[in-house]
Amino acid sequence: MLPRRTFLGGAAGLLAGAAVPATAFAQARGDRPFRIYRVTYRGRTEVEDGFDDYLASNGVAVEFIERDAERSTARLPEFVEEIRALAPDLVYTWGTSVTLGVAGRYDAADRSGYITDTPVVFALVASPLAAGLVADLADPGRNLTGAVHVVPPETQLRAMHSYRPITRLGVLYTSTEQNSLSIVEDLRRLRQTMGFSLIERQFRLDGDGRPSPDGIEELIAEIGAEGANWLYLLPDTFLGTQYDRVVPAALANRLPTFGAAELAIRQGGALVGLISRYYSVGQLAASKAVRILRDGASPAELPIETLKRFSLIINLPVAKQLDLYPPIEMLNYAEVLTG
Amino acid sequence: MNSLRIHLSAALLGVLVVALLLFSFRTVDRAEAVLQPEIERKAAAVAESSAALVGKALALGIPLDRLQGLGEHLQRIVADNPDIAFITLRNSAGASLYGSPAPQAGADDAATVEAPVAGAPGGLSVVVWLDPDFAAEVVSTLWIDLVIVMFVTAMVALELVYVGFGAGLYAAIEGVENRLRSMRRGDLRLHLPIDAGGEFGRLARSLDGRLDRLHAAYASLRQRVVERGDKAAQQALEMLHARFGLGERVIEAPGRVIAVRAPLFVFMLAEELTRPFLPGYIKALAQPVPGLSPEFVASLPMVTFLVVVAASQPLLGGTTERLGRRRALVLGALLGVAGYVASAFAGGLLGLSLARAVSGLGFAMVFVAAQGFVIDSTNQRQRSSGMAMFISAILVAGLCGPPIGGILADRIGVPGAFVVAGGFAAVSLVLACLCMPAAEPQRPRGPAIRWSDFGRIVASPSMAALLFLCAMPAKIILVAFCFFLVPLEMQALGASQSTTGRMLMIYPIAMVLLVPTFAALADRWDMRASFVAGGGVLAGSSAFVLATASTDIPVIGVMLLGLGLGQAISIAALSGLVGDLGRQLPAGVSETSVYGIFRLVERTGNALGPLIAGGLLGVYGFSTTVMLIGGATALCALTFALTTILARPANLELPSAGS
Amino acid sequence: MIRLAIRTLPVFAVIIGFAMILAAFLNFSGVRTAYLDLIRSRMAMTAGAIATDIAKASSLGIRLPEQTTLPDLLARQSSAEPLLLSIDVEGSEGDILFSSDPARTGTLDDIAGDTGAFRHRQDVANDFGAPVGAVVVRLDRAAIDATIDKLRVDILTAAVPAGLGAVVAGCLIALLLLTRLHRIARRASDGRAGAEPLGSAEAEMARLQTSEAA
Repeated sequence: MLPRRTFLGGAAGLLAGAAVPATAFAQARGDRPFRIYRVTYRGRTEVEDGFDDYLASNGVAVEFIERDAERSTARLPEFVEEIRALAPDLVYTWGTSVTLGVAGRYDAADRSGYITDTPVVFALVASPLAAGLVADLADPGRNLTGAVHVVPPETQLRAMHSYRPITRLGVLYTSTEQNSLSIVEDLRRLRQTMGFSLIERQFRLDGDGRPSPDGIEELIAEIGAEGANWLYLLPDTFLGTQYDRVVPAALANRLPTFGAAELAIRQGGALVGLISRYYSVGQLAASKAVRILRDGASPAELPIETLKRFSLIINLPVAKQLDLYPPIEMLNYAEVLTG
Repeated sequence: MNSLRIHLSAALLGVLVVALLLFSFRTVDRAEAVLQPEIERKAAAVAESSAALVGKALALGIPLDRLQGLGEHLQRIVADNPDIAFITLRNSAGASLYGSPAPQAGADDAATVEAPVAGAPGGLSVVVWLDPDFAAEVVSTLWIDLVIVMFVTAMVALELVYVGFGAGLYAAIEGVENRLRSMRRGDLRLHLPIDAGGEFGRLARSLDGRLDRLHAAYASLRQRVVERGDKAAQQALEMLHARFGLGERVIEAPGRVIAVRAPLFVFMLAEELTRPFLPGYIKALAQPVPGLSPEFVASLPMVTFLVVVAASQPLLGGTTERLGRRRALVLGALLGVAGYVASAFAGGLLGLSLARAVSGLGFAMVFVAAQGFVIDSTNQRQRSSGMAMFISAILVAGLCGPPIGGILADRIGVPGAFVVAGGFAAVSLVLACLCMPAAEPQRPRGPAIRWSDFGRIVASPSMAALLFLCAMPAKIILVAFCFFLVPLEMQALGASQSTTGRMLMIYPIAMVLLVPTFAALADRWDMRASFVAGGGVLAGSSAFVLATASTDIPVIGVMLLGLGLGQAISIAALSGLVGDLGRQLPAGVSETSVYGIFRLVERTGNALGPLIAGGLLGVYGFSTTVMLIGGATALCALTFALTTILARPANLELPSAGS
Repeated sequence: MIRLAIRTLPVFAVIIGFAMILAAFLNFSGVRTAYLDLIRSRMAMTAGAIATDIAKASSLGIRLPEQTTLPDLLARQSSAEPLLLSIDVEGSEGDILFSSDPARTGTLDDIAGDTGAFRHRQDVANDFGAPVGAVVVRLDRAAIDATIDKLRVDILTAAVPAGLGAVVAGCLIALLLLTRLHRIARRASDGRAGAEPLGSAEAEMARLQTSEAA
């Protein structure tokens, strides 16, 4: 635990402009720490804590160059330029949009605006395949690898079911996201075995075919009116940006929400979530970084791994609002948020 | 029957039962004082654990009327714990908020345990009502235990009477009694002399002295009268002869046989101790052998033992005769000591199998030597009462050994129990030296088993049917069930070794209590073949109680009772029928050969039992294996019944009618 | 007669004494088993409840090392058990992941060296039957042994008077029976039993001899 503050101190120093001369080769240099250029999407999260702790506990000394996209993709080209100038040993990216903005699609026609040689390790990308980051998870084949956090839909539903039996399950997703479509396909399959019916709604698309937040409240109201007793917040990238509208709308309709991502419950206000801990995702990503930095492994050969460690989290203030409390035995194995 | 032995045994039994009853009441009293708080403590643990959960929920801010699933949680606790009758969350007003409603009036006297919900307002508490039936059941189970203890203790004490008095004193006392009894009846025949010292020996000799003088006077007078041809005097003497049996000798009950009872009983007890824990012990030691199921592997050391017993018994008859019965028994007991102690320290299956083979050789040696001793010490007419004594010693050991062995294994572990078994074998060795006469009476031997007879015996269809459809399956099912499958299954059901040991008493109890009755009935009604077939069908069908209910301990008990009942019906009739059929065989086949081959077939069945059971168990599991073996046994018995009907009346029922 | 008494009465005393010792041992075993069964059932209940929660959480994909709510659950369950040393939750390698006794967390469970504890172990399997870990409830063996020792003393003390009484009564009855038989036999051998068949046969024989001699 001790060294982390030192790293942060080092990172702060870098941010102040005391840049270290660039070195082209990512190799162990004994006395000098590795340099990692880190791009986050909405400031520091527990993912970074897990990442830093993992490096520290493995005795890998690093200096960070910290940059934050501030929930927008606008500054990403600027960061790409800076990465080229500073030539760090490794680039770390948080989330699908940042990773896409820094590393680009694997099949992009013009890759000049992206980092194509420095190794990039991502965390918290729900589906690298659907995002077009790589063609094959087991064999990325480019300067990119990282950690995926997906809880299988069936397990999600089982957790939902043990909180409150599912009779009609509502879902709201983006019709253009491949990942979401395949999850919804799974849900349709599970209707039979688990005995519920499905109410599907898609986000509206704007003129360019991109999902739009317009009419979210109406869509939720429709789901509620059709008698849904759960709203499932599946790991949809666009949905992930709209929790602050989706969840209050669901609450207004007295519709309990079940989140698949930690953000959904910690900040979005979902009732329950079966989630991968951000901290663990960070650790898994860091394990990739260690392989690249210390062992000199090529990211192209490091498979993208899925985290299989989940936590069940109950949002008790939301339970109070909905007057829908968990079964008492669930308190024995669920984490309860009270604040 | 008013012999001193019976009086003494009855007195001993009476005194022991009174003492044990008093003692057992005191034990139960003490036990209740220890057990009742434990029952309450468990209820308290239940109450506190539930109260803590409720407390946590309330502390998190979940309202009291929104404790989802608490009712189900409490109901599950009641369902899972037989000692708990009701459990409820109660407020200070005594109203039940969750869980089963408070029991109605009349159950107020039941003990309750209450745990307050910490940090909750309004005096909330979780209340548990103990089920009074459970405490009663704990005590009644304990009483059943204690009654079994009384029974076993009394049986052991009675056996010890034989040990304690020794053969000499016993023979003297019995001799005196026999003389007095026959004299009182006016039977003044001469008795075999008693060579024991001591007061009763002297008394017997002095009684014999009077009788001898009388007989001598009678003989000389008779001679003179006959020489003189005095008809009147001759008639008077004839009347004396008819009235008092003067000039004749009594056929004695076999008093000398008693000498072998104690060492035999103690040695058999050693082997019987191992019954409840041996299969589980083997299984624990067994290393997986590729291609063989663990159950089959587990049967191998048992098979080794029984094969050694079966194969060596026919050969040991001559050996024990040459060595002398006492020396042979001592040697057998020594092998037993070595075998049991080695079993305790066997590191693996091979070592254990070797140890068991040594034990098996010792067992066979003791068995054959004791049997030989009985045969040596009895004449033809005393033989059956001598053999009855021999068999009763083995049966009583079979009855007392398993429960004691089970308790021993529970207390000191299986290796310790094996060492105790070795100790018993050593005691048997000492007893053999103390009790059995060193000098052997030399008797003319009957012809030994002739192997050439085997073909002639088996060539008789009715005999072959009897041997292979009844005698062999009876032993297979007995060994498979009692000595192999049931101990393993009991272990799998989580029963203690003590429980297994008590379970294994069911069969010998049925035998001890019922065999004499059924033997008499089979003879009186002249229905030996029917008894053999009927008993076989019943014993085999007992397995099918497993098909009607789930496999649990009481069901296994019922199955063993059915097996015991079936075999109690058939066992004596079977032995008698072998003799009946043997006399139908062509001349030249001796009865010894017939019985020798009968026993060999039985012992082969013994050895096949665990082999078959182990093989099937690995493939089909317990219930199916039991039903397969039981079904096959019943089917064999039915087939035998059919052949009997077809062969009637020429072969089967007639001879016994004439005998 | 004294020699007979010396020869037989100790035998009787030994037999009855042995029987009483055997009975005391077996009685004590029975009560001890009943007592330990009750304690085990209590341990099994505690371990079973925790194992159920672990299995439930595992079925939701929450791995045992990640079940961070366990310390709280163990603390609650352990407060209900007065004899408790610890409740441990072990991983599949025997490493203690959580324990109500903080000092044990992170150590390896030393089963052979844990002689001070009376243990109950409940294995936990996931939905597919694969082992996940185990719950081990450890009670204070010394406290349990103390109760058992007291039980042993109580039962053995109760056995002593009953046994002594039985020995005395048994010896008296045996002596009575032997004396009676002895008396009858001596009378018979002395020829004092004149009215009995032997006497009358001797008398008859004497008469015949006399008449023959005459």
